[in-house]
Parts: sequence; structure tokens; C-alpha cells
Amino acid sequence: MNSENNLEQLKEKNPFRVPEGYWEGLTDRMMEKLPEKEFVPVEPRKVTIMEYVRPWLYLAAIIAGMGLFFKVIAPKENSTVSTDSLLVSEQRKSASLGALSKTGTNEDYLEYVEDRCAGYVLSGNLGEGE
Amino acid sequence: MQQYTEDEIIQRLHDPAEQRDAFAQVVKLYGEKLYWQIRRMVLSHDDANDLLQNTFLKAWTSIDLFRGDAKLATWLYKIALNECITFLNHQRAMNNVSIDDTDVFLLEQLRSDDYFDGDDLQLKLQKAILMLPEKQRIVFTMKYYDNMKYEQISEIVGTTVGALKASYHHAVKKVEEFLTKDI
Repeated sequence: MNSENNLEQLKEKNPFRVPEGYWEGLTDRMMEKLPEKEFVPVEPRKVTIMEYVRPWLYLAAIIAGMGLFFKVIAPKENSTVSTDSLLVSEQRKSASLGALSKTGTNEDYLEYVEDRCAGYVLSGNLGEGE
Repeated sequence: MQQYTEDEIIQRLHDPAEQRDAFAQVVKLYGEKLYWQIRRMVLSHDDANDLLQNTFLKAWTSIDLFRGDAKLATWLYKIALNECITFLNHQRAMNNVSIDDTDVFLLEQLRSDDYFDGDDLQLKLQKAILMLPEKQRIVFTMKYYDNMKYEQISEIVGTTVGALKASYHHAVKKVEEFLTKDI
């Protein structure tokens, strides 16, 4: 193609030129515009006691934090307890007698007694039946 | 001036006692190549000279950050290219040229440039190149004039080799089509 030849031919001749003597003084001209750099010797850094201790403090804080975290989500005093009667398995919250006496009804009190004495009462009844 | 390998030059560049001397060697080694890369982008000798100075100034101030991960030439070309792009963006703003438009406005300056000796065909070629989108123009000038390897161009412009090959192919087609037109 004619245009391809032209493209390759055009590459051979550089139409751009530079002023006379431009290349001779180029390095000096570039270098004289560059600022001087101050060389500041770096003193060796002194390591303080705190820098030694700090990682251990961080570790202690992490352990303390984890301990607090598990303490917060640890099982509480009022937990669910399974109690079995003869026929039905029930899960009933166990409550202290003191709390019941303040807020509970007669029915609640009877339930409490039943829970405490069920085994003893039943064994006694069965013994009579025989 | 004693000749050093690239690794030795980089080592000397990080030695405060030898840094300036080593940088002078860098200017001597790469000054001319960088100049032509810049000149072909901005066309004017005076602008190219200023941008070359800016390139070396930027390189000098950030030389301590250069760790030798890339070749020295690649690093310098990158700085030079960024300087060209910044300059051209500024020129476009001054000439009220849209971002999507090309750099054909530079052609008028070229016609009256004392340091341009090209004939009408050369002017036509320059116009064709100026009409390329910026990225294609960058790839075209690097490949067409300097015959740079695609891998090196890829490191400079941050585009994949495949994309560069496609870009150059399209650029060449556009330039060839333009050269065949009667303008």
C-alpha cells in the first residue's frame, strides 16, 4: 500500500530539530537547576522502656477484655431445670422459696412443695400400695 | 565519566555522597531519549525543553523513593509522560478544547515553528497523529518512532500488551487512511 510505504519512509527523516549545541550542554543545564540536597545523618533511635513493655500491656488488656466478655455471657443463676413427674417431663424455672413468698400465689407455693417433695411422697405412696 | 551498570547507578543514587554525580550520569544516559519522547508529544522545542527539565527535577526530588523495582528508563519515561499529559491538559484548557477533542490545535504552532523542517507530507503525518485519541497517540509515538517493545510500553502506561497491540493497530490504520486523503 502506498500509505504504508509513506509511513515507513516518513519515519526515516526526523522533521524536528534542536538548536545548535543543544545536546553538548544538556547535562550541565539540567543539573544546575536541581536543588542541593542536605544530607542529614540519621541518629540511631533510642528504644525506651515503654516500647518494650507496651506489647505486654496490649496482651494483658486483650486477655482482660476476653475474660470480661465471657463473664458477661456466662450462664446466669436463674437457669432452666428439668423436673420429671411420673407422667410428664416438664421444664420449670426453679425459684427460691423466699422469692415465692413475696410474689407468689398459693398455687405457686404448692407447685414449689410438689417439686421439692415429689420423690419422697411418691416413694411413700407406692410403698403403701404394695 | 566512568561507566556504571544500572544496578551500580541505582546503588550510587542512594548514597548521599555520590547521589548527585550518579544523577548526572542518568541525565547523560537518558536525556536525549526522554527529550524526543516529550518533543513528539508536545511538538515545540521550547516546551519539550521545559518539560524535560521538569521531568528531571521530579525524578531528582523523588529519587530516594525509587527502589529499582522497575527499570530506571521505565520510571523516567513514566514521569516524562505524566508531565506531557499535564502540560497538554493545560494547553487544551487554555485553548478551550474539549476533553474528547484531539490536539490538532498544536498544528498551528508547528507550522510556524523554527525547529520544524518538515514538508507538507510531514505536516500531514503530524496532523494525523494529533487527531488520534490521547492513549492511541501515546502508543503510536512510542512504537512508531522508538520501536519500543510492547512490554515496556505496558509498564509505562499501565495497559495490557494485548490492548496496546490493538490500540497501535487501530492508530496505524487511522494514520494511513488520513495520509491517503487529499487534504
